Order: sequence, then C-alpha cells, then structure tokens
Amino acid sequence: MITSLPLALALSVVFAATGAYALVRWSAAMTGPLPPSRRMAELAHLLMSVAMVVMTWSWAGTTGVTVQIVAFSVFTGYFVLDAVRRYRTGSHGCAGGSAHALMAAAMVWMLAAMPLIMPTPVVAGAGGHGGHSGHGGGDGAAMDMGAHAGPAAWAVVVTIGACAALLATSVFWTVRGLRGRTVVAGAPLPEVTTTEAAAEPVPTGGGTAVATAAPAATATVAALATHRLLGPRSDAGCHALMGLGMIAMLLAMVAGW
Amino acid sequence: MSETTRTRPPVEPDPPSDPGPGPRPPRSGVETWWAGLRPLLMRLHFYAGLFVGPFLLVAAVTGLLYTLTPQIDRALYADVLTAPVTGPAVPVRDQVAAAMAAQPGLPVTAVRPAPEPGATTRVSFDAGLEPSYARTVFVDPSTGGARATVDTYTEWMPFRATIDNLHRSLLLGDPGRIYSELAASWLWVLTLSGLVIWVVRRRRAHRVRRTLLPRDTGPGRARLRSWHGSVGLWAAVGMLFLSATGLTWSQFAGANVDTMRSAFDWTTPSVSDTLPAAADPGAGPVATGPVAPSPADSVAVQSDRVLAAARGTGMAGPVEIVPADPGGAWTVTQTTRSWPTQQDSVAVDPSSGAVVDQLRFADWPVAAKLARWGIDAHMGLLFGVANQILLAVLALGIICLVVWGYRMWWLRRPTRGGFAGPPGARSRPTFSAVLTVGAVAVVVGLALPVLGASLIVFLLVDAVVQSLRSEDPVAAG
Repeated sequence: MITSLPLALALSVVFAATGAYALVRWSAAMTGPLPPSRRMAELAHLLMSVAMVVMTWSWAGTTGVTVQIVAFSVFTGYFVLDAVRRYRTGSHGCAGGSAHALMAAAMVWMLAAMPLIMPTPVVAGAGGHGGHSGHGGGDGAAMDMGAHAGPAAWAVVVTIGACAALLATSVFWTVRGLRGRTVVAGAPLPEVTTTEAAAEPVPTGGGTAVATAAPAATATVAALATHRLLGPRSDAGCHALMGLGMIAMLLAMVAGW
Repeated sequence: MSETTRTRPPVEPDPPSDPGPGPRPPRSGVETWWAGLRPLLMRLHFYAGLFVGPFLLVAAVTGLLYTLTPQIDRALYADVLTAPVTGPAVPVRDQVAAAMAAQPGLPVTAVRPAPEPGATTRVSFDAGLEPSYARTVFVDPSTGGARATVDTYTEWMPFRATIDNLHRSLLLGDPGRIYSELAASWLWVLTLSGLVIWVVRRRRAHRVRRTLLPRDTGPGRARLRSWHGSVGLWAAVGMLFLSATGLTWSQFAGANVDTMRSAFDWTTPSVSDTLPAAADPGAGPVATGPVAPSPADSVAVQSDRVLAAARGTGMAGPVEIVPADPGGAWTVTQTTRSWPTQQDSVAVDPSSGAVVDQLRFADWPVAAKLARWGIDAHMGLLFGVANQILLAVLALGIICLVVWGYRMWWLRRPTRGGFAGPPGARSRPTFSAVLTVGAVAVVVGLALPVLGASLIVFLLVDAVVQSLRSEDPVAAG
C-alpha cells in the first residue's frame, strides 16, 4: 500500500516495535504484573500495530478490511464508554481513554477511507479455491475495488483533521511521558494518584492490580528493568510513536507515497 | 474465565499438582518452562475445544458421509453411469454429436470418453449454471444415444455434490465456508496442544502403556480422559493431515497458500493452450496458423481428432478433453487420481491434430505433486476403499474425541451449579509462556485469518469481561 520502500520499511519498524511492546504489556496483563483491566488497551495496541504493518505492504481484501473496521469500531466504542464512565465518576484515566478512543477511531477511518483518499485504486486478490473438485483451480485474479476517480476532497479534509487530532494526542502522550516518573534505585515509588501520569498502574510483579508504594530498595535489577519496560514513561512513548506512525501512514496514503 | 471450586468426586488429581511426599527436587530449565507453559496449553486446548467442537463435529459427520459417497453414487446413478455393452463403441465424434443434439445451442466444455467397457461417455455443456456446475449428457458408447442428462458438479454426481457442499459450506455458499475454515484452522491447534499435554503428562506407572492405550478401569472422568488422550494420540497425524489439506481449500487461508505456492513456484503446472502461430506474431499470415473450423469440422469431429492425437503420444486410461476458444489448442488430461496418479496432459491443435505442448505428471514440481496427492487422499480417492475406510475411522475418531471432550467438561461441573473452567485453573501460565505463545499467535493469525479473527473475538470478550470485573480506577492509561 505504501509505494515508497524506505517509508514502508520505516513504518514497519515503528509498528513492529510498538506491536512487540504491546505484546509484552498484554502478556503482563494476562499473567499479573499489569492488572487484567489493561488487557483491552494492550490488545488494541497490538492489533493496531499488526494491522498497520500489514497495511503498509498489502491490501487485506474487502472481507479483511471489514473485519478490521468492525474490530476497531468495537475498541472505539469501548474506549469512548470507558472515558465517559471515568469522566462521570471523576476517576483518573479519562484523558488516556479519550486518546485511545481517538486512535481507534482514526484506525477505523484509515481503513474505511482508503479507497477514497488514495490517488491510485486499491487492489485485492480474490483468492480461495473452488472446492473439492476444483482444487488447483483457485482464482488468484486481482479485483479492482470499483471505479476510482482519484481522492475525494472531503475525505482528504477529514483525513487531515484526523492527522491534526492524532498529532494532538501524540503531543499529549509525549508530555505525559516526559513528566512521568522514573524508577530510581533506593527511592520509594511515588503515589499513584497524584498526577495524570500516575494513572498508569505500577507493575509490582506479584499480580497486584493497583500500585503500592513498595520501597524500590528491595527491587531486584530484573524487577527494575521490568518496571522501566512496563512503566508509564515507556507506555506513553509507545503511544506517541503509534500516533506519529499513523499520521505518517495517513499522509503517505493521501500523497500516494 | 470461570474458576472451579469443587468438582464431582471421584476424580484423579492432575499429576503436576501431585509432587508426592518429601522435598521437591530442583526443577530443570525445561521443567520450569513447561510448568509455565502447561497451564496456558490447558486453557488453549479447553477453550478452543469448547468453541470449535461443534464445528469439528459437523465437519467430521459430513466428512464421514462423504467417505461413503462413491458407493452411494454408483448405486444411485447406476443407470446413468453405466450402459450395457451391446457391441463395439461408436466413434467419439458420434457420441459427442448425439450429446450436442440433446443440448442444442450449448457450448461443449468437456468430453470424458467412457473409461472402460460398460461405462458411459460424458459430454458437459456450459448451461449458465453456478460456478463448477455443468450440464452433462451421458452417452451410451455402444448405441451412440444420449442416456441421461444430469447437472454435475464438475465430475461428481448431484448426491456427492450435495455432501461435498455440506461438508465444505453447509450448503450456504461462500459464507458457509467460514465454518469449515474455522474447523480446519483450529484442528491443528487442538491436536498439537492436546498431544503435548498428553505425552508430557506425568504418570506414576506404566508410562508408555498409559500413554498409548486407553484405560478400562478407574473413575469415570479419568477413564474418559484416558480414551480422549490415547485416541487423540493415534489420530493426531491424520488430524494434522486433514487440517493442512483442508486449509488449502479454504477461502482466506487458501488464498495465502496460493500466494505462497506462487512465490515459491510450487503452483500446479499446465500445458499451454496457445497455438504456435498465435504465439509468434511474426510468423506471417495465417497459412500455417490456426484456422476457423469449417461447419463440417465441428466440435464432435475435432474431439475425435484431438483424442486420437493424445492417444498417439502414449496417453492411456481415462482422459478429459477440454475444447478451447477458437484459435486455441485443446487440452487432453489424464484423470486417474488413484495411485499411481496419472495426470499427464497434452495440448493439441484441433484443426490439424498436431500436439503442440505436452506435460508429464512426473515433471511436476514436488510441491505440486504433494498437493495433488494430499488433496486426493483427503477426498478418499488416492488409495481407493482403503483410503475411504481410513478416513471414515478418522472421522469417527474425531466425533468421539469431541463428544468425550464435552462429556469430561460436563463431569467436571461444580456441585454448586454453573460450568467448569479449564482443568488446572489454579496454576497460572508464566509471563514468558504467554509472550511466546502470543508472538506465535500473531504470526499464525496472519497466515490463517479465520483463526486470527476468532482468536481476537475470544480475547475481546475476555478483555471486556475482565474490564467489567475490575474495579480498578486506573485501568485506562
């Protein structure tokens, strides 16, 4: 889907990195270091990263794109509801939830608007076989996704708006990452509820859902490394990187790079 | 998901949770890794089995029916498929002409001369039916008269076509194919996870015997588990084979298989149907090139000429003649799919009878041959009745495995009501095990999209449930 090889490689590296990071965090949410409630967000990050890598190189076909649109719409709906719930209850995480919702919505838009914003038509392989008797006669014919009259102006405008919103979320995550805590050996971990950045639960390695102010002096080097890897700063950095990657992808689609 | 608290007695304790008296010896690296992986495999096997079981059951039952179709077909359509031998066979051209007279105006798409005395000749026509279907006239070779007209699914009669479509798509068309792809995609996961769980399982005594053979003593669930495990062990190779070959037919994974085969040049080769003069635009005027057939040089006459040319190359046995568009070469292909496979093909100029291209099955790429044999074995064609019996036994085995699996789950239901979760639910998989299996799942999910999509649905449900359960106020980072 991305014509420029250097750009495609760069985007692949970025999303492979964010996908690997999301996989690590999702595994942590499945096994204890992160709370189970993080599974949804980490699963969204993982799937989004994988979908972006695939999208960089190929067109998933009508069915594949439809499935992805449905999946990311579910994520969008979930994050919107979650953000609203947090806003109403005054709990932390509303901003983060909103940013998640925006990114998932941008993903839905990217998938849905691809035929509208790309200068060249997208093409899908029909694939599949004719059945028992017809094996070996599978039609690999290419399928043009309808007549293509170039990018639609309104869709390009919406895409640019989505890029601006994504840029705002990337800035939000960057600031959050820069202001976030670092673990310093010998120093106690700060309270988790003092800042927006502290909304991220601190991994304790013992399956505890909410961070406790355990003295870091007792933390092993491995625990420290795990904390750094799973902590709020690296998480915010990953979000920022994903946002920037999505902006690059959207712009590349519009420009036909 | 759900955790069990008490189960109905009596049950055999899960061996890994039974370290025995005395201090536990230090674990090796492999043991530690397995201790972290086993709970994950147990969950995977349990949930995948619970979810895919009905689909596997339908595929196995319809597959079992499919193994019986050759005999049923022969009985149901004896009058159509066979004809009494009352004299020498009339020329193929006369048989084709008789068929064309029975279906005037329809273009001929294939001719299958009677493969043996007593069999009928098939002449298929494009009647605007659904893809892969054709209107076929069955001709008595002795009399040259049309015996019956049937809408066939390529070479299969209507009954077999129905069972085939039932097995493949539940008669629902392309949307229905997702069911069989789902079953094929998860079958190998269930097989491999079950195999590892069963083989690595700790046993206090008679280790080999209890691995290979079912127990006929002991409490109900333990005995069921023994049958489930040992039958699964014996059926594992067959199930992996069915899964792999089934996936090549599937809608989405099949497209990926096609792409891979093309990338590695593993595609099934075919003869060129381009005539030499048509292939060489510099060859000059049409003097030596293809010419439009005269009215006398009809499809029927050309069939005879093309068949004779093909036989002249040494092509024996049952064949199929496929006419080409005007100006193209006709192809003649051997149709024997039983061992030894005969799939040679030639391209023949219908106006002159000259052989313009030839392809021997022996020259096919190894991967293409393996694909051919794999497909034919899956369909019970490669080794005849023995193949059918083996497939039927395998289908029965899968049916039993699914039923026993559900039975075990039912027996484990908590006494206070509700449903049982995965066995060994108290042990948690380790981070590294989840990470490794998760990474594998991403790659496999891309290659097998239906597996990937169904896994996403499951994980979504799990994540939503966990999120609803959690009162954690800082969940959304």
